[in-house]
Amino acid sequence: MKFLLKHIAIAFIISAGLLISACGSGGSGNSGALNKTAAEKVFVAPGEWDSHYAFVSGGFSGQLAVYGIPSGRLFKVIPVFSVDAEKAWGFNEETKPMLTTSHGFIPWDDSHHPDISQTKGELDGRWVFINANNTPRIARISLETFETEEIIEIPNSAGNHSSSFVTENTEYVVAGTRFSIPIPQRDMSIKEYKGNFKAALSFLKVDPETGHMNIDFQILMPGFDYDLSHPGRGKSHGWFFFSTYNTEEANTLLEVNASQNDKDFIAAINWKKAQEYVKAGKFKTMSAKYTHNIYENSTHSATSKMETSVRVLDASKLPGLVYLMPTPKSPHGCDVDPTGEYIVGSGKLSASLTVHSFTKMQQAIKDKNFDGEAYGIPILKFDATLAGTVQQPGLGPLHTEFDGRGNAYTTFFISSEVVKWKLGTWEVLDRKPTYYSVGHLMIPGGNSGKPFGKYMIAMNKITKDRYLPTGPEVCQSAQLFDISGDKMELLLDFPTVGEPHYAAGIPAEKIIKRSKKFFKLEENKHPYSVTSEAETKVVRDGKNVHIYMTMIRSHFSPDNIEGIKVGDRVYFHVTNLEQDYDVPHGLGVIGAKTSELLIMPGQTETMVWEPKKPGVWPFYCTDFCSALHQEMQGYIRVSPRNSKVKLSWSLDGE
Amino acid sequence: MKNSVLVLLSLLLFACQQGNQQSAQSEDLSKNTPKGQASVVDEESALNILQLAVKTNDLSTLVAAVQAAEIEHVLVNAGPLTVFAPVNSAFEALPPGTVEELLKPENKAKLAAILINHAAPSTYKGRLLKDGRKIYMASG
Repeated sequence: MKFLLKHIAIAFIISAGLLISACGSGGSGNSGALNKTAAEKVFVAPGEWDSHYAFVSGGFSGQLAVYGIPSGRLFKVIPVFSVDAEKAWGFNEETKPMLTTSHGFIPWDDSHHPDISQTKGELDGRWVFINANNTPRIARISLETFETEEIIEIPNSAGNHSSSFVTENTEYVVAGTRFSIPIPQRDMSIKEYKGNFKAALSFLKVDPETGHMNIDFQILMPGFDYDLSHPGRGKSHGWFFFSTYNTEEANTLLEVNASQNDKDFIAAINWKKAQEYVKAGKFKTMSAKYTHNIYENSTHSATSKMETSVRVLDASKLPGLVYLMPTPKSPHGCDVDPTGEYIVGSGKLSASLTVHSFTKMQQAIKDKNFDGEAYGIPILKFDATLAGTVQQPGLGPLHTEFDGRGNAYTTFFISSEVVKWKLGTWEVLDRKPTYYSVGHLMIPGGNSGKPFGKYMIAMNKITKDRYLPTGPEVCQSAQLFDISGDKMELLLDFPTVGEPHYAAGIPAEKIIKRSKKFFKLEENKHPYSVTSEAETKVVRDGKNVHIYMTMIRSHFSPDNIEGIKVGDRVYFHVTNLEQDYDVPHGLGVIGAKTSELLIMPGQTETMVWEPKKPGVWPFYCTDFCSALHQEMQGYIRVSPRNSKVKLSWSLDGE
Repeated sequence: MKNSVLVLLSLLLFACQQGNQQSAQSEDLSKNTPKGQASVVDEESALNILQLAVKTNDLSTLVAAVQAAEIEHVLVNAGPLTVFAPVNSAFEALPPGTVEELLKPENKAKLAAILINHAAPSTYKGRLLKDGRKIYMASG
């Protein structure tokens, strides 16, 4: 007994010693009070929720990732423009139409600028819109299901970059081309670019109930490059602003040849005027082929429709539709402050930021204070619209967002920093480094009439030494700042999926109540759904075999199928009968040339399987669903083509 | 010897409080879900076994027993589980005092074992409950 006690005592002494030293270093201030505050600010205790959502685009991953802020935890990657084997997006029969375009099935794209729908200039948390750059498209993602519900292709467009920003009541989401191209497309010499290539800026009307989009009109613009855009708001509601570069209309080595002009333009588009022109019939109807894909939650299926025409307004011929505001050095970002008065142009090659005044612009238009024209579009005098200049804030300015307290925050790619400055006085208030080479930044609601100016996220292109190395390809990052005080405070940087090109953020309470838990079986209108095991069956239609299958913890019905022949095309139409939150099931079939299926409760999905060899082939549940998940399996027998085995199916021998 | 251990420990606590109060306190990070999965609030999904039992008057003794045994979280688990639920009269048929005895805090583990012996992994619904079929209980 004594012996034991001694040992206990020694153990205590040792642990006490360790603890004392731990306490000592904690109290000595080695890590600094500031770090502790930052840790506390980003720590979301187990079981607690983040205060904000961040929807971070995946850039070249083509997806949209959902993070919690301030923790930086990744919750979901929503497949949008790229196939996703995890969720069967683009692999199952139901979602393949979503990726259909006038070029056929396109399994990848480059997703850039998410923007959340607005009502009265405030984020309403209903939908996120996002653009595909490469094969021009705009997607709408539901914030009830966190799934892509609609994708519309944009004709007459290429490098759909100045997209997909919404007006203050989500009247429109815009899709501006980056590249100018022959419109309509035709076989012509590239050298004849100048004066012949054109650009189309598309205005997509959004149905306020369903969110369904359609291209209301396109505005045909001179053959510049178009970079970014933002809507007017408040006093400037009814206008849209687009930054342009390559007003030189160079068609080669743009790195140099697009930087010859001292100034390019911000194009101010009066979309209410455009509506009047459309109403007055001043548009041209162009034939154009583009797909319009809609996913319906009732059928759990998408349809793809080919549209055949688009209405085009020619900016060169319609007075009052477009004005050009000279802006130095290839402006990239084109950002409008919450009041709608200031339009910030960030000349990539300029050391200063140019801020235009909407009020002065209106006056200049009234006074016809023009400095010539470009292809019939009036150019406003630079001084006539200039509100002020932020002098020498940094190198390589890109994007600006606002905190709603009269401050603006601009990213600088070359000098890797975020600079805070004051609207109206144009003085620099603070600067903080980013790690490294920051592109966009995001303040939740920071490009709306009502920003939520607590957090700011800077999205970095290069991380080099910031994380554990992972070979030549290292992650990009998002860097979280607290901007509630006078000075920005770095709290956290967290790795992201793909390229965090841009993001949209919103307080969580605007979304969580609407988030769907499961789909109701009685509302399932999928043509191949069955709502009970009694209805399950296998039907042969020539070489097509349709299996009406169900799944519930922890079995498939049927789970033994015979009578399939080599050369058949077997459709597994699988309905998840669960009516319980967070109980998806999956399906994997040996040799299937698609992905797994991942089926939410109440949902039906279809996998096509084309067996090539006779045998008895297993299938199983791929989503760890229950304690008997490993028992959730079945067999499908494949016989030679000339076999007489009759079609049969069963569960538990019945 | 015992005394010296106590002295050391109290010194340790004192030192920590002097040094840095925060590192001395360890926060209870499990507090947000005191009943495990049974803490989940979800009024849309189909009723789970526990919710169904709570709504069934004739299972009130069972519910009280489940709560006393603190095994609510087992009954709301993804399972699948089939509970062979004793109705109130079944409890009443037990020798007098049995239920009261089992509900005592010191018999919590015993009560839990008895209750879990009424739950079978798998869904024995309708035709799947057949003659001659062995059913294993969650208790093993």
